Amino acid sequence: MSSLKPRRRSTPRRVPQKSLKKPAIPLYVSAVAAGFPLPGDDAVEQTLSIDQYLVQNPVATFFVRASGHSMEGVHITTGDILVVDRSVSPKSGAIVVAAVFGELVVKRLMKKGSKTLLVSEHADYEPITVEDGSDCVIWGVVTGVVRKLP
Amino acid sequence: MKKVNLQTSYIGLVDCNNFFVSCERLFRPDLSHKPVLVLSANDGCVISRSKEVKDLGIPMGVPHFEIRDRIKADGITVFSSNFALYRDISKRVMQTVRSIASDSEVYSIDEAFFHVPQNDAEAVARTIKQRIEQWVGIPVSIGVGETKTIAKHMGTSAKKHTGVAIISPEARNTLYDVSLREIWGVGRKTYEKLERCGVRTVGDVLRTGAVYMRTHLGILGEQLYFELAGITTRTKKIRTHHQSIMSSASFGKKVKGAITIEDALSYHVAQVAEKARQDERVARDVSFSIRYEDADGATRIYTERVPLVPPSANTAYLTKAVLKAARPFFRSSFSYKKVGVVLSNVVTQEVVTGSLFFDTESVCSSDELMKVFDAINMKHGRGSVRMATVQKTHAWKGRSGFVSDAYTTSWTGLPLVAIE
Repeated sequence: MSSLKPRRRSTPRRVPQKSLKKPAIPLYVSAVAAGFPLPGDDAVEQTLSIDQYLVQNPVATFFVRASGHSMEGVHITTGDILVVDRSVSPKSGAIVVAAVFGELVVKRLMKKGSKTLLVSEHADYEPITVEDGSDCVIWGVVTGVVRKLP
Repeated sequence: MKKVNLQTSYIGLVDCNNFFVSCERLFRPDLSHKPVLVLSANDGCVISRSKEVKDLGIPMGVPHFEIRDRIKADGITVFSSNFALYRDISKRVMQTVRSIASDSEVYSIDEAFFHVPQNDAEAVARTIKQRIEQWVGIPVSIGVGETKTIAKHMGTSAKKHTGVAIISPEARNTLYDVSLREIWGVGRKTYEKLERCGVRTVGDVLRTGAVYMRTHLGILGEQLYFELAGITTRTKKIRTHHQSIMSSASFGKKVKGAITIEDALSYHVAQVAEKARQDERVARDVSFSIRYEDADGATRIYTERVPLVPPSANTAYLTKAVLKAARPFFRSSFSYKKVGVVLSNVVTQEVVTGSLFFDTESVCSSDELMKVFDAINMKHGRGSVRMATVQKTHAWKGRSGFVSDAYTTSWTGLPLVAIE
């Protein structure tokens, strides 16, 4: 951090004191290449971002942490971070986060005719019908899973 | 910025309903339709209420200790303020508004103005409302009118009805009878002054006319006339000039000692400076206020405004400026109750970088340092890196016993979702 170093006075000091106070204005921002340009030099800006890969609409995207039984069919296990996009419209077969009886849960959404069902991978849970006025709403669509390996 | 034709354009105001409560409910569906309230920093008093709490007759601003019994009896869920969460959600709301109305202006943490074509106002307002509720999950109301004041007024009627209210000939008729007390920007003093002249309602203002309002109330009176008459005085941009950022808190208990008060001031300076840097803004002034008891036990307030030349949002520079101004005031006989720091005349950085010939040594030289500072605090939690004056043990810092997780700003605070 060069800015923290004490300023070195230019010698000899013949300029009036006042002009020393002038802020340093850089003469150029980027170096001027004098030699042969490096092929592909214009592509250096491109780096890969996992954020960009996973998140389509940052404004509507939330991260939540999965906990409980595994959903083997969709490779979700406890501790995983789920990428949830609220702006995606849920299609049949989508993995969704839903608010079911006051709790946020991960389920698979199934549309059968005019019916919308929240289906569990586990046999212990009965499918739940989503309808107006019921205590079940789709909170968002799971669009990605993030897991660090130990 | 998009050019807007003012003749055919209305101003809309998006207002998040019970914003802090709505944020708390976002990851807690169990709390929908249940009474929920949010307390101010320090758990001092009520600053946000759900509809259910309003229906119980609990007023805004009531001290927490006064309603302890009611909270228990009525099963109210209480939260301490979680500003990390509210700021993040606020940012999302504002970005969503901007995705439809590109010239929108953030007015407060939960309000934003925007321009909307007159003939399409209803459809655009509905789209904005629907998109915010879908994308961010925060309920909003939208009022639309010729001016900000009318938009704000329509907002209140939107809250009572379907969430969107647009000025119309009928709405204008009812507006005539509205008391000025309910009009945005009319304070108690202004109202009393107007009342003495027999001006009580919006209709009265419009009947008396601009000249009368100007002679009796000056430029502000004239502006009020134009606002209510539906004539935009400030054109093109809806941006207002006096923007300020504040951070303040009462001490949990009365405190003594210069070190503690310096610590508290530094803390609040750090808060406002960080906020300003996030918005890429700098302040022309910083002021602080200290509420204290003097040696005789009388409660007093000491305030001082320190001009910043050049404008800055640098924590080190601001801390130095504030402490330098505050130090001569400290007395060992005083006990302190509350401190606050306000950045005022907050402007965008471009406004300032135009004038290169300040002595920038003291400020710009550590802008890089500030970036590092913010990056570390963002990664490891606010307060990981501090100015040396900000102590780790906040002897003065109040209680906040019911704070929810940093759901959206910390990996350790993510909401848990059951896999079934």
